[in-house]
Amino acid sequence: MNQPLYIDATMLYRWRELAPVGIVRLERLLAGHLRFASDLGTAGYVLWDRGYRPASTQESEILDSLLTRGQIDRADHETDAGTATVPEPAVQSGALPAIRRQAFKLLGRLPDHLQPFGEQAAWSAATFAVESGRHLRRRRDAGRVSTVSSIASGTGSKVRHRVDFTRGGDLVALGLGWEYLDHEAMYGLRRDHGIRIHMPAFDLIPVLMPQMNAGQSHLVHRYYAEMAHYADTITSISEATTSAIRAFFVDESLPLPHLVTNPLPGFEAPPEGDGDSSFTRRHRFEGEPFVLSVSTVEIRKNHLLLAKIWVECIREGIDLPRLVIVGRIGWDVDELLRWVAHAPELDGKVDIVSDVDDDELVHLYRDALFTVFPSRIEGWGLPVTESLTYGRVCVHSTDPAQLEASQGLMPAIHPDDFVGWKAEIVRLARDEEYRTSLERAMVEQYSPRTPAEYCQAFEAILRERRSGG
Amino acid sequence: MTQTIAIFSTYLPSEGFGGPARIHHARTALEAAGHRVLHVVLQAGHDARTPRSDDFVRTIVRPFRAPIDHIYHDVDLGQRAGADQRLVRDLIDHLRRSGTSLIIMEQPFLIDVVEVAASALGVPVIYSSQNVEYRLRRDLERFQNDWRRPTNRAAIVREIEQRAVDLADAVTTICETDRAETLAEFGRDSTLVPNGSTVADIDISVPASGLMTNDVVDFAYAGSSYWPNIEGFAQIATPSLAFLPPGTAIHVAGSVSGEIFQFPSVARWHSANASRIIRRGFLPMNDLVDMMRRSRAVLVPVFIGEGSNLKTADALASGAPVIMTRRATRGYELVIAADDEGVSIVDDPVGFRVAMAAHLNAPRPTEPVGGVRRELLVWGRRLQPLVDLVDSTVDH
Repeated sequence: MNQPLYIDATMLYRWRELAPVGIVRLERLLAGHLRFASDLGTAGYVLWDRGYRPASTQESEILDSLLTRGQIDRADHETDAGTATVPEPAVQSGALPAIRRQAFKLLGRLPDHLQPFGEQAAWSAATFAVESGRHLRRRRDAGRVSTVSSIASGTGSKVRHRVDFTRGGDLVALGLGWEYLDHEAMYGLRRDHGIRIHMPAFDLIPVLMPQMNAGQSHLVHRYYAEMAHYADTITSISEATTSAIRAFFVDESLPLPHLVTNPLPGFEAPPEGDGDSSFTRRHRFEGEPFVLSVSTVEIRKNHLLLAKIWVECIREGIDLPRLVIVGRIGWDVDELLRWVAHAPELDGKVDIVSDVDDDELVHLYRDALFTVFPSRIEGWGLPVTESLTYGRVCVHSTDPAQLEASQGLMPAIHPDDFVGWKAEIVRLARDEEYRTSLERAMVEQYSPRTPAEYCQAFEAILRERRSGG
Repeated sequence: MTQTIAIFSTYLPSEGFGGPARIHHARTALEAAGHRVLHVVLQAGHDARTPRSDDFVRTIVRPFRAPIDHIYHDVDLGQRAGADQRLVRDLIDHLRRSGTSLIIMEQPFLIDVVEVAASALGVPVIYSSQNVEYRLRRDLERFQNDWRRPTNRAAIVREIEQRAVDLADAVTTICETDRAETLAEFGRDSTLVPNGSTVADIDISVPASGLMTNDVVDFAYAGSSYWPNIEGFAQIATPSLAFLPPGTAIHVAGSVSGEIFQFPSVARWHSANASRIIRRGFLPMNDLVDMMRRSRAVLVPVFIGEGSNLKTADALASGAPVIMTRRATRGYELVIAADDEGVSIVDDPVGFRVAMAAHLNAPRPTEPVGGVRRELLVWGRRLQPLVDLVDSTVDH
């Protein structure tokens, strides 16, 4: 038990200034528990910087502040160039855009008829430079087995860890690993130093339905496939995800690491009528009935179904309440946006709002008649959990993860069943008694896990693996 | 007694690999036996290689805007050559002047030309079958669907093969399977003249001094961009190559390396696949052999096609262990029986993947393996039945 426990805080640190997405929130929750509530004993944060290195004192303080207060204590830690020392990806550094700008400026000075040749020449030169660099790096890194190194060995150049991993131990890497992890290096950590690596599994959606997220499918596929080779434990957020991961590993003939499910927790809703000023702000649809749908507006979430139902109902003279879609605009939703902007029936009946903060969202949930979530596939289905937490009925899809999230208490309809969705929405809008009966069932039967239970379960998994279980 | 032998083909001879290597070594073996050999090459495009002065090499020009059907292009080429009266006349003159006394026809596609030439010269013909071609072409059609293609193209190839068999005084095949199928299909027994390997002639104890000599090579795969080569590799890379640990290096050489990521099932999970594949393109012979020899295993994933694969011979002669399909062993059964050191034979893509994983877990070989089979695969030895057949055909 006295082996070191490292927390990979790379993504936590990179997201320190940004509003956290669900995965980052989860990472904060677990990292905070391991750092401050667990008696497993941590060696502290490590950050990926062409290999792992320990977080500096200042970086650790910033991270501690994030995990305890949810924000950086700016009085103590101004994130200027002197303190923020984790290198960001090169594309964010500003150097490349500057070079690109200069290149375009130079090209712009060429006569029109020469510009295509100029662009071609620039691309050729850039390609040559990049490929030559790769070739030289490959020659330099000759002998792949020696490229993963540690302080102890001091060899290798491709990846160089500045953490002494020779003592073994555990590495918890819970973030958006596909964005930065070097899988060869991770494999080397396990193979050469016996590090037990604990990884999360959120969902396999880009692999199972690449048409919904084509841009990330390769990366995510590789992330999960490589993970099978080096992860000691994979903790997934739902039984549905665990099943999908297990089937994926079998299909790909991959080794099967220790795979466990640690279902996502619910959360405590702020008490209604709380005197805290942060909950006194009113939402923008106050005073009128509305149906709420909360999620990123992207093709997988299937909002188009809702728009079409609202159009048809209005044409048929069925008076549905306003539909409020809350979420940032994602990808492949041109058709939805066209419907909302141009279908005359939807004028004043469907709104997409992307600038809702957490406080307003709480009020929206509380005042909604009910919520709808026709997403095709989810790793868990957080909007379902949120809706139930605020005591609002949520109609969701028959996707297994969403059924888990609602504990089977809410109406579930196939995402392509237009008629079924329409009938259920109309009934919930008109039949108050039906809605109330579902809300009553929710109050009596819905039992979400608490964040503490979730963290303790994760700790127990780690404890078991550390003790050789 | 010295004979003048004309070898007809649709490609120029070359020392390296594939069919060109076979006719190159056929000439060498026959000349070593005291015969005079000239090549008659009727090819689709211009080839920069310089033939010998007594060779007859012509480019068969495709009519302007005539569609190219890559699967049957050599059938079209043979028909166009046969219809070119001036070409045929020049060819017969050339053969007559050179005193040709025997024709060896590699593949059946130049049958129109050979029929006329053999009749004009009154010389015997040996048909050197490399495949049951019509079945192969029919199999290949699925790689390049074309609604404009007549549905009877494979049947036309079968007719051509039948004519070749009927014309020939002797028929050769390259493996026992083909021999049996030729007998069953065309009613003709044949002499077995198996393939050999140029690699068997190369000294593998001396490492090449290529640019990549320090690269780790886990697996080596070499081949042309011929559909079955790409498809065979794609089968082991489906759903992806992620079953191999991170950092595994599969070196791919030959024109297949340029095409491999065009294949949909390999392209689908590009990131995982590309991280395990190192494309080497065309390599000089010594570097190619060096790449193979330093690998944990040379891969021969042949799942479709007839005949006997020349790349199998090269793999078996490379000094490295070999993972191959049972189909790829055709024509090399005796060689493998004599020396199966490091040879893993599998039946399907799953077995192939399992064998690759097993090779990764085993210690890397330090010494070349398969010395006996290298000796057995030397072209001169493998082509000896052809030399004997030529003598007996001319005597007869």
